[in-house]
Amino acid sequence: MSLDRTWDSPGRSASVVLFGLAALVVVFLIVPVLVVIPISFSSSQYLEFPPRGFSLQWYERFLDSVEWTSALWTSVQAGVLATLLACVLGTAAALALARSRFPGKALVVGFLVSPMIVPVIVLAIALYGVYAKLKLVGSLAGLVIAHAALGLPYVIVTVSATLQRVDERLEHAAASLGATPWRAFRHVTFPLIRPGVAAGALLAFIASWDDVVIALFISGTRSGTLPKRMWEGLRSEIDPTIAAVSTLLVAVSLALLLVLELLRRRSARLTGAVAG
Amino acid sequence: MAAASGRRGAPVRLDGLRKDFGSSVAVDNLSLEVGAGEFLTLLGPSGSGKSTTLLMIAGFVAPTRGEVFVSGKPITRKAPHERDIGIVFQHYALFPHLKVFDNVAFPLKMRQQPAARIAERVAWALDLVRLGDLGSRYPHQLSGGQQQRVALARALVFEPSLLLMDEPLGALDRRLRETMQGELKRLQRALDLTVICVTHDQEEALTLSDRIAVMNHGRVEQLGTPEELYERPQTPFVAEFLGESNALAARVLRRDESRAVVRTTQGLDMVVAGAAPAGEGEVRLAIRPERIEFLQEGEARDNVADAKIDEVVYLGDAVRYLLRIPSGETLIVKARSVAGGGPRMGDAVRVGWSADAVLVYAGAGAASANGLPPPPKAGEGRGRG
Amino acid sequence: MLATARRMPLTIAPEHRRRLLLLLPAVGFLALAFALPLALIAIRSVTDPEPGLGHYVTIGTVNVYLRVLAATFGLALTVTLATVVLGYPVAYALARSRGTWRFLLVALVLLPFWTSLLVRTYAWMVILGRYGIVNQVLMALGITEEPLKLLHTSLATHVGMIHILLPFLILPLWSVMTRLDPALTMAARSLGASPLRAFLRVFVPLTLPGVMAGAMLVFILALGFYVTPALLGGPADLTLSMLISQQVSELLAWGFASALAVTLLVATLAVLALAGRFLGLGRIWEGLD
Repeated sequence: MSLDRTWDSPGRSASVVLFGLAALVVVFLIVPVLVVIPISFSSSQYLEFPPRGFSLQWYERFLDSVEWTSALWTSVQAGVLATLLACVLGTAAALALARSRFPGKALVVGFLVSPMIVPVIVLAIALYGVYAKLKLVGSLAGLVIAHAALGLPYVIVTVSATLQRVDERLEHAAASLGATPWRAFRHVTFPLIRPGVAAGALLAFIASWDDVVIALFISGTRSGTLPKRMWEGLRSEIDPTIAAVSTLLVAVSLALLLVLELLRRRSARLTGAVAG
Repeated sequence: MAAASGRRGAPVRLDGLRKDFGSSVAVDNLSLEVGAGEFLTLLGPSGSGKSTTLLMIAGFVAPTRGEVFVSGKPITRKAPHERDIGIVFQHYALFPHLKVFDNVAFPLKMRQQPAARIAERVAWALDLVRLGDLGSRYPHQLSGGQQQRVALARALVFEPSLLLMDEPLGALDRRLRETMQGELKRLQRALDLTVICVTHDQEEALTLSDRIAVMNHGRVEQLGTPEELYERPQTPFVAEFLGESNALAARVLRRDESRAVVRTTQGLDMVVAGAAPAGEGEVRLAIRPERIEFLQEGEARDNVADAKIDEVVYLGDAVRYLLRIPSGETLIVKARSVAGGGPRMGDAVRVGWSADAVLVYAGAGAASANGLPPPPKAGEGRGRG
Repeated sequence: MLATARRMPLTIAPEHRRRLLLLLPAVGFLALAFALPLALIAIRSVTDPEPGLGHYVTIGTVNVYLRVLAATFGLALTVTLATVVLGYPVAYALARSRGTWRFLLVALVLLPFWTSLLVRTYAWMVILGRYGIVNQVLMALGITEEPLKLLHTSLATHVGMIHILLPFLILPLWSVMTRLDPALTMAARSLGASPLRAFLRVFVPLTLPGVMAGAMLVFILALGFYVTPALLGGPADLTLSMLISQQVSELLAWGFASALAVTLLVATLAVLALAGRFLGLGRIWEGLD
């Protein structure tokens, strides 16, 4: 990755234009994310910018409201359980896919990653129709199943990519040294792909954590997720509690991003050492 | 080597092994016997089927047909982890997340050996490869040569009946390779190991092996000792793959009991030893470059040609010349380098070679360079025989 | 040797057969939790309330629905073009930058990418609202006396969607750019091309597959967008997703909503198939992890 790209320069003036544009776009990307933070600390009763004064009232209101905290709890539960389910199913599938070639493989892969591209609204009403008959609307199980389906492709894609960087000969070596397939996985393959599984898990968690549309249809009025509660808030009145929730969510994203970066480095170190 | 067990390497037999990948045949009806304690190398270009053969012996590729026997027992239906075969992988395949000690201990742990026994065996194996004090390092902290030794220790520590090696020295630089060749040979003799090695490097094959099987297109072209293969290659492919050869197409002009006269397509006549093959008279010739000599005034050989030197390549201990002879052929000649002397580019020289330096094969021209004729029967007296 | 082994066999190699069993749980799970509900929707679209293709005929002939369809495609197309124009310089800057600068740039692109879509949509409501940041600045500068109506307009939908989808273009494109062999532009330079010509004639054409892959991804995602248009757009800017939701939750017109959903799904798959045809499917996923 450390290729020298200075030769790709289009010349000084064109570079200035390109980098200048890039800077503007990056500002455009980041400003909205930052805007919500000061508002969340406002001491005013209204949504104002720039905010007046400093207070934690909106955070207090968030924590004092059963509506908000139970939504948070539902989101955490659904996210963790869906992630676990997606990780187990996805890692197993990635192991099967990694080095095998069989007729129709492209179709199977396409099927397994298709939840990534099917418009969520379509999946949402489809699930709603089925869940209504099965009395799963408003249940945690229903939410977990739907979110696991959303997260599964991320686990498969990430773990497959990591597996591709693990030398197949390491698994052969383990087998030649007497390891059963399970023990070869347990002692060799899994330690090497762990960062990839963790990264896949993070993405699967985000898929669940961020989902609005499916939750809108299949989670009940009282057992809604955090995004669903936010959506309702945004539709009716824009109260600054949402800014506080948003700030917390940005903090969570930042934390997850840092974890992911650490995992990436770790994975690079582990698998990069193989070639040496 | 006192600690080495009394266990001898096992004899191995490959019986009619065949592997199809889709419609292409990677290994075609391969039968081979490897004696106990023998070092056998499968040598061939990439795509010759040698690695597939190795993977079939190890159990990672299921043969389409055929059987692998170790110590007389068929193992073809056993899973890789049940085969008890040590493997030194290309690029070593050391577990990057385990320390050297744990890498070497791995096969013993898989066999549920007690900790004390494991410590003792690992120490033995690391001493064997002279790495006794590096057990607490990680593989990426080791040099290429050290990694190689760890791989070897790991493959030997559980006393396998057979050791497989896949391009074992390919990743090492030249100096290290020479040291490791000596070391490998020493270990193999001391432990009386049966070794099957796969390589495309002829030098590695020649120095290490008791016998070499030269493979091409999924078949064994020739099986023999390094000397037999080099001195009496039975096919043009072997002649060219092992060492260098001047390859020429020719036609038999006349023959008698012990010699024949042939004419190359460009019109150079030469005498060759042995009865030339019967048939239409189309033959292929191979002459080793070091068998062609520069002649002084008045010196004679069975075959003599005037030539002009087109190119001189200095190799250190030898010099390689590209000669053009008046009939139009180019010949490669290799001669020992002489301080301050030797012919130069543009010089007119006279070269000669004996009749028995010319290896003769049946078949016409380059067209059959790859589709090879059946190997000649022993005693038919082809080539220098 | 391995070149032979990599060729696709016509049958499953026996050494791989058992490993393939590991696919079953994931495939089975998705078949039940994902494929089956979608199939039921497709069935419902031709049976509810009565059997027949009536709903599809309505979608294909009634002006209102055709206009929604066109608007949805138009929105996706505009957003895609905008992300290409705005995203290319960022991807390029990422590819060229080193050390701390690169770390900073990556963080600035990834943080919005990772931030909840709702949070970002909410932020745009704050920025574009009647008394939002933009209006306050405009009024303070005396450009306008009255606050402009920015929120709940088609403009707001566009801005919000461009913001949310930009990283989906930047990241795959960046990964394509870093994998380009720098020797190629160096070669062009050594052959007498000026820096600008080498850039335009060698670098840019070589990154076009990345642009196409990213653009397809953005387009597909934009087609199915629901949250952002619903919150930022005006009542006139109805997209297919919003129409589907409306039909189900307000009118309980399941059959018609199903037909609309199938239409959206088929449109998405068609775009994807087109992308797969020209780019190879694999390209679309790279850079996403």
